Amino acid sequence: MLPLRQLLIYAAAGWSGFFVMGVELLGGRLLAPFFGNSIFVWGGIIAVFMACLSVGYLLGGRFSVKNPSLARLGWLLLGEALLALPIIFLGDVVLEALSEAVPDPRYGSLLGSVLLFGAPTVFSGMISPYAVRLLIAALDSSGLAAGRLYFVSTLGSAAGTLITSFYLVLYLEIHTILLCLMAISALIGSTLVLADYRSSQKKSA
Amino acid sequence: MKIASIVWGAALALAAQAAMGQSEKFELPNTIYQEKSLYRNILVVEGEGYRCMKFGKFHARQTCIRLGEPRHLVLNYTKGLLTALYLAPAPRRVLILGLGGGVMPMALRAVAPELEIDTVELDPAVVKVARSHFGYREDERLRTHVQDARVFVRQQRREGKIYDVVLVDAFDRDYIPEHLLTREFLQEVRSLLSPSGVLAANTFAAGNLAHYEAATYQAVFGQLYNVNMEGGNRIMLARRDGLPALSTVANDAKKWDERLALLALSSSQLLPRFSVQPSAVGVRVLTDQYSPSNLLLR
Repeated sequence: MLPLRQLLIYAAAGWSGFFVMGVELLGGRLLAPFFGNSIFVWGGIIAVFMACLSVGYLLGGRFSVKNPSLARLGWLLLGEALLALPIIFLGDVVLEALSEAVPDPRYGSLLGSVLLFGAPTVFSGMISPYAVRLLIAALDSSGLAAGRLYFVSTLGSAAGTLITSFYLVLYLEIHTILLCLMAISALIGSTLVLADYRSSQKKSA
Repeated sequence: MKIASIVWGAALALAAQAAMGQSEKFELPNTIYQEKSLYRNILVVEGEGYRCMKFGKFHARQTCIRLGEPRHLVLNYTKGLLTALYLAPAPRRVLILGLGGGVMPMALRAVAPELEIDTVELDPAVVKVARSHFGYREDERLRTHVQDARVFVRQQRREGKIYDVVLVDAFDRDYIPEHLLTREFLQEVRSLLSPSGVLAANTFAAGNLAHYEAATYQAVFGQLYNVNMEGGNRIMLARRDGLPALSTVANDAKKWDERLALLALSSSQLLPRFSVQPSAVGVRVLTDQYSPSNLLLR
């Protein structure tokens, strides 16, 4: 059995994989009324998510160098949830303005994706490398930890893609699904922060 | 063994016919052209003097023509869509969303050469095949726009363009562009209509989705006429300023009889298919926030 701390780290990484793909799929739905459903709209969305994740990996690795802690990983999850909120509250306004300002739907949808989905996706990308840092206890088991982490986060992505597109859209409105995703991110994030606080209290006591 | 297979084959053929709502029965054994486009697998198939476009070997026929008879409408739903004219006594500008083989714009061209027609099709390969195999010909008053229909509608609205008739023919039995079947999309289309402008949509006659579809159209347009074309197709007719009485429609329809005779259509044949669409209750209206049309199709 994995210790609770490790379990929480894997949960964070797995969930963040779920979250990213859920948002990506719903993002396509949010853009369609303004830019259509053409192949290039999907191309733009996927490109933006990939690029933002890659930037996130870089930043997450860098962020993990000094004083890595479970609490900080928790804050990353809280950050992705918070930064996704504008999708709901500003999405239509931003996309409406862009569809008027940028006549070519390729660049309009690309720009819209960057503005709405960029920040939360960068934060999601930061989670994996940060989690690897927290998991690694020794050099010779580092590949094992990294392998497991890729496993849970990518499997999480697969689950997020499938569950969102097969079932969630059949029962819930897009904004409701997004709010649920954010709520779960926030829940896992605050659990991490709380667990870290508890364990540091125990240590000092 | 042989008998069984013949019976089975006949049953399949009958089922296929019922599903497609063909008024004319014919086999299409020869594939004369095939192209994998960005969106579809486009097939042109021929047989018994007919030529059809299909999106996949076992998929429904999108468009059919009879070779050498450009004014002969083969598929029932195309006849049904033309009843939009009965609600629009003097149309000038027409918008067609979904091109197929271009049968609808060419039919309108034939009966009313003065019309300004815009057609919108997402897939450039479909436009190419319509030109090469189905006799689709543009001119200075018939233009094709290779674009997503929703994007085109929004652009036209921004530019203040107005249409007297809008035909929506962008769905088939196998795939629905979900952003073209929502309340918001229909509101955008409605805003393009002139005060007495008409919308005609080729929709599903049966199945789960038919109720959702009716509820969504009713949420935007109120009362609708249902033109039952048998088989799988139901034409829904709506007018921006409210539905005219059937007696008014019947009167206006007669004015088109002379011109529509060119396409072998008459109001006496089409008017009996009109009925007021009963209001859909107990189903959710499809919106940009909730539009799982392809899942509801199953």
